[in-house]
Amino acid sequence: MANVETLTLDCRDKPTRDINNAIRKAADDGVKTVEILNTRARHNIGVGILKPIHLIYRGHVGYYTVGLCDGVTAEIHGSAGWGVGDNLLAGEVVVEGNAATSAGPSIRGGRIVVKGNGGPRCGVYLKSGDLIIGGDAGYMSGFMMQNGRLIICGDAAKGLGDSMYQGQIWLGGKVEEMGSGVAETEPEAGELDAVLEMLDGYKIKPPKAFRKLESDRSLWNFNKNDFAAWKDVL
Amino acid sequence: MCGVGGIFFKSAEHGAKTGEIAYRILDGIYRRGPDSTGVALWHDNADGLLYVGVNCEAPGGGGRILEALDQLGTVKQATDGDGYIRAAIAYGGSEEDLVDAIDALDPAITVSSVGRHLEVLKHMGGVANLDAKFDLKSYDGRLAMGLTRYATESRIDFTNGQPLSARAVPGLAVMHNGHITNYHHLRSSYALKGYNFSTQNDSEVIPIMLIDEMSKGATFEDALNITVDKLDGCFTYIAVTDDCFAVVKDAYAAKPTVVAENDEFVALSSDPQSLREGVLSDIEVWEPGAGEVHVWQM
Repeated sequence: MANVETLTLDCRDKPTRDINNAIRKAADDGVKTVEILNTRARHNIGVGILKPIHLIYRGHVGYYTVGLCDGVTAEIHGSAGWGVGDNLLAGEVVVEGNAATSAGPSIRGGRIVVKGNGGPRCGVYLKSGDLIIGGDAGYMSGFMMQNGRLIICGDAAKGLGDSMYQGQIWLGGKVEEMGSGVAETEPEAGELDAVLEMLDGYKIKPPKAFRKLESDRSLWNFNKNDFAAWKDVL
Repeated sequence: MCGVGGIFFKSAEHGAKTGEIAYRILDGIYRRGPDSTGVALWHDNADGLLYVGVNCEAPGGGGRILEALDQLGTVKQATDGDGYIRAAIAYGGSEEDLVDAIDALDPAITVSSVGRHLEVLKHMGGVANLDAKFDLKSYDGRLAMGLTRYATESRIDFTNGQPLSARAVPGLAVMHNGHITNYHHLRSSYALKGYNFSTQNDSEVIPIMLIDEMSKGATFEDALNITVDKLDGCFTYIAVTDDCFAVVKDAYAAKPTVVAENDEFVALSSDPQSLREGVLSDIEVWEPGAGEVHVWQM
């Protein structure tokens, strides 16, 4: 299959394991792009791909799309189910529609872009890399994030950034209720420009202004005088 | 785990086989709950019959149940589904008297639901068994909502299968995916108030809480919102009444559900794939958020 630029893969009637093995083999053979048809919101399509390849999903996808991948780039022409880009090490996933619960969980690098809205727990345990939500983000987004950037152009539901350790949240809209241990901080020189430039690259309309949120580190060490705050967290 | 899902048509003249769509949606979430499958169907019921569903864990008990129902009223249609009995009877008395009479037949026999518009059907395993016994696919009414059960708290049998109702209360069926962690506390407080429980399933406390709140004057929607505050644990549940249905999500959004709505129908499922296979279209779906209550009038 060498010299093949684009491989077309029809998911209809194919077991998930066969689809993922076909993508893995294409990556091994140096195929540049795999176009995936008839995804029909199926789960686990394009999981465990550890060599660079570009995936084009034509349609909605189910859970854990581009999960456990390294160096993979993907465009999803539809909406994504839970955990899109789970544990991505490097690469890029662009979701044209909405993403369900836990978009970009535990990613350690790379970038996940959701042009529509994100469900609850966007960027949960984010460890590095960027997660961009073009619309609104659901309940407890950025929960326990440890590093990286979570960029929300729209509004955020309750518990934004709850128990975050480090990293940055950039919020364009309103927040229903801030999570525990989060504080608004002053952006450093160039930080906001970098965020805006990134949004421009995906043709996402930026909000009028961004607020930068970070951990206030109050939950880093247990302090029995702050027991009420801890009780709230737990 | 469990899966919930189904379809509602906005018009009585929809030209689709509701049962076939519900079959595909429930088949798509079979892997979320392989233990048993149940549905709540809405009937126009022009003849004014009472729909009765009876759990019969006693082998061969179906004959006794139908005989007893025929003494209480007149059985117009009935199916002995081998473990679950479905009947439509002409009956003018109180639902509570009927449920008391049937429940008294045998400790292994309990009425699952009574309804003037809602009928509950259940069977073990996947939706294929339910269809084989009760011909789900032939149903062409306006609403079919169901659940595939992955049992956690109570036995895998007909009695503890879902949908669940409050005992002897017509016009309410609940399908719950999740786990109510303050169930024992709630159950004992409702038992002290005089509510009878028919199962050991933690989900049974949901219809009873709804009935209790409405008996205190809450509207259906208010009662649904109260459950979000009072129930502890994780849940997504569908509640169906004679004239509306709702989907309710816990404050943590821990259990999935997606919704698709167009001019013709509202479809729900725990899983987007199952929903889209159900309605045979790559329709856009959205996910209700944490602590949200969505109600649709029929």
